[in-house]
Amino acid sequence: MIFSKSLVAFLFVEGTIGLLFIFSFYFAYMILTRWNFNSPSKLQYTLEKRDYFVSLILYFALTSKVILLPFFINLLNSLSEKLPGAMCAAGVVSANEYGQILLILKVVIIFVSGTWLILNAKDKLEVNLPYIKSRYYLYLALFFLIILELFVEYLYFTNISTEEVVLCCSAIYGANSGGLTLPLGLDIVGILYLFYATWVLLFLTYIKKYWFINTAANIMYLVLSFYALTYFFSTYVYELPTHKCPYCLFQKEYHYIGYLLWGSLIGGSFYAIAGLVVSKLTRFKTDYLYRNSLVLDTIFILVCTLYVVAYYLKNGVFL
Amino acid sequence: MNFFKFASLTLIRNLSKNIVIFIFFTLFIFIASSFIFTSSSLQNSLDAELKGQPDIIIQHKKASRNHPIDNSIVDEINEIPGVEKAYERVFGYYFFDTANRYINVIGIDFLDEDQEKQIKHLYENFDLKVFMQKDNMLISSAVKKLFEQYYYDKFFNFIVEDEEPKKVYISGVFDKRVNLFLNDAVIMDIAIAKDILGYEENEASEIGIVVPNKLEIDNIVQKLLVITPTSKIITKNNMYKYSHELYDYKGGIFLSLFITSFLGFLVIFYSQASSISGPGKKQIGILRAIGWSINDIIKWKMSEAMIVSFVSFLSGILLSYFYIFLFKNNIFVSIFLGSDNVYKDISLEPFFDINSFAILFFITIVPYLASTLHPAWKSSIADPTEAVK
Repeated sequence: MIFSKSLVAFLFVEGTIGLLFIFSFYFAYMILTRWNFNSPSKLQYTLEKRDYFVSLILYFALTSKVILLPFFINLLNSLSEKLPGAMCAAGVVSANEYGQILLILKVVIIFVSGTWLILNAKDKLEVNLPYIKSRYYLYLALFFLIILELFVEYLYFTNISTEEVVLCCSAIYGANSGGLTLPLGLDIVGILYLFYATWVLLFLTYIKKYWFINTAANIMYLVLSFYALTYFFSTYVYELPTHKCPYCLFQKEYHYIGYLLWGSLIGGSFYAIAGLVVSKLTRFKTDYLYRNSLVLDTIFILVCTLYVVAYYLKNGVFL
Repeated sequence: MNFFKFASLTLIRNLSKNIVIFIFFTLFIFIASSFIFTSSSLQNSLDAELKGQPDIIIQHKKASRNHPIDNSIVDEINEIPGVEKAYERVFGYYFFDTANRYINVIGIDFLDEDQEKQIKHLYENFDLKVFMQKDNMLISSAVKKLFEQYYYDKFFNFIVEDEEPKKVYISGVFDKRVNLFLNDAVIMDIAIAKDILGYEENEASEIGIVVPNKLEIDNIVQKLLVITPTSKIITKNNMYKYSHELYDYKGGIFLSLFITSFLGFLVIFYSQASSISGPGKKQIGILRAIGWSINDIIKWKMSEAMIVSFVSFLSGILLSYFYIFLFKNNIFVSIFLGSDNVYKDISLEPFFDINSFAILFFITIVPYLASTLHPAWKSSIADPTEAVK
């Protein structure tokens, strides 16, 4: 068991959000089962009011979650000094089997709750709240994700041993790791070609408004970016060919650039997915969401490329 | 933005009701932030202190207690490639019987340039030649106060085993800024310190090793294990880790207790926000009647809660900042440093990091706002026609 001020604060806020969700679950369940817009009953009138409460809680929860995310990453980085062998969050995340699951869950929760909020805003524009059922099915999914996340968080933090030696990022992602290999048997140059090609695809599908392909390409872009950033671009940020790590980017030594890089990347994919879901479920056009997505994806690729170019201009060679 | 303006106006209108919440919330934030400021400032000072320490320390233990270490291995350690310098360190507590207090005696080899440098910044106009002419020592202001109480204002007589009392003259009092970790310390030449602490000529408290290249530390530790297999070897990283663990542990325990009590208080905030008076209901009814939607009322109520929490947050933090860093010997320091050994004469180094700020935000503002969500909604859905009747 590991213990620190930040951890206590973090678990407290996560617990508070979970508690709010449990409070609102009964309301949501009633809306899901009893909703009938055409009914003039008192119950229907109450349900409409309760819908406001559930939206309020979700707004609050999502805002807190988004603010909490950088704090969480900082917490992982600060815990690394307590674990033998860990140099950054990579070691802390790999300290037990729950770390990776927790990170993925966090991203998924932000995706789902963000989509919910956009859907909610669209729903409120209509007179008869036509999308309320899909909204509450999404809420149900979110509820179970949040509860699951709480459990995983509990298991994760209580099962970190301060005695066992964990791996550092060079051992996990480095040259002699052998653990993670690149997908499809590609080498890093192949990944880079694919990475830039996917961005071109994103750009073209945005201009041509092929939204489905755009979303699919965005998911591919997210996966490719993970590999490109970890195995290629990060070495230029660290200016060290052997240092390959997606987590050290968040540290002060590298000007907290990780928050911008990962933020823009995850934001870009989120807007594309939310755009597709919202346009399928409602009659509204979601072009502006795809525009946001493209802007964020472009920021990501520009910042990454700039690091390489700046390094080349400074030193006259590539790593 | 309009909601914030309206909310601030309505808050001022019901000043007497809101001022109670404001005061209590400020008090809560004051206590929490005082504690967090103290712990992070102490930790920061300790980190700075550790920076000047040697990279590796060798101690000799018997039955897991500190035991004098034979200083003859110093020459052998100096032979290890990568070691810039190894030197003996002498320190320990001298029990001042009459006053029933412990004094931290630190021996320094003034002929060693590096060690002398460390002392120089403690004391302005330090003249080594004058200092070394007779048995002299430098003392902290807290120790000075203690000595003066027993009329030792020029010298102090240390009682030494099997010998005459050792008379050591007070040559100066060192700078107030560094008093945190040297609060109960007296600094003197290493030979006198050995005499007072009862060490033989060839004994020392521990051996410090300076290693300029940090990458070589692990390797050198392996070689040291060959030279002294039974000794305890501590690296600087271990010291950092241990000190951080200690402060995080104490801070974490306090935070857990704080959260428990704060949860109880949230119930009061909740019920306070839920109870809306007759005029309050009428106000909401009128606003609804003139066209405000349920969402507008919720926004207005949440803006009120945000204003109250942010203003309390800022004033609580400012108050504690002034209290912690401007007032000497505040009660929060005693919680961390404990024992009332010698007179405390401690003022903390002002230190503020974004992480402490974030922790404070998360444990106070977020739960407070969460407790006002339900009341805000509850008041907004009241039937407007009923309310204005």
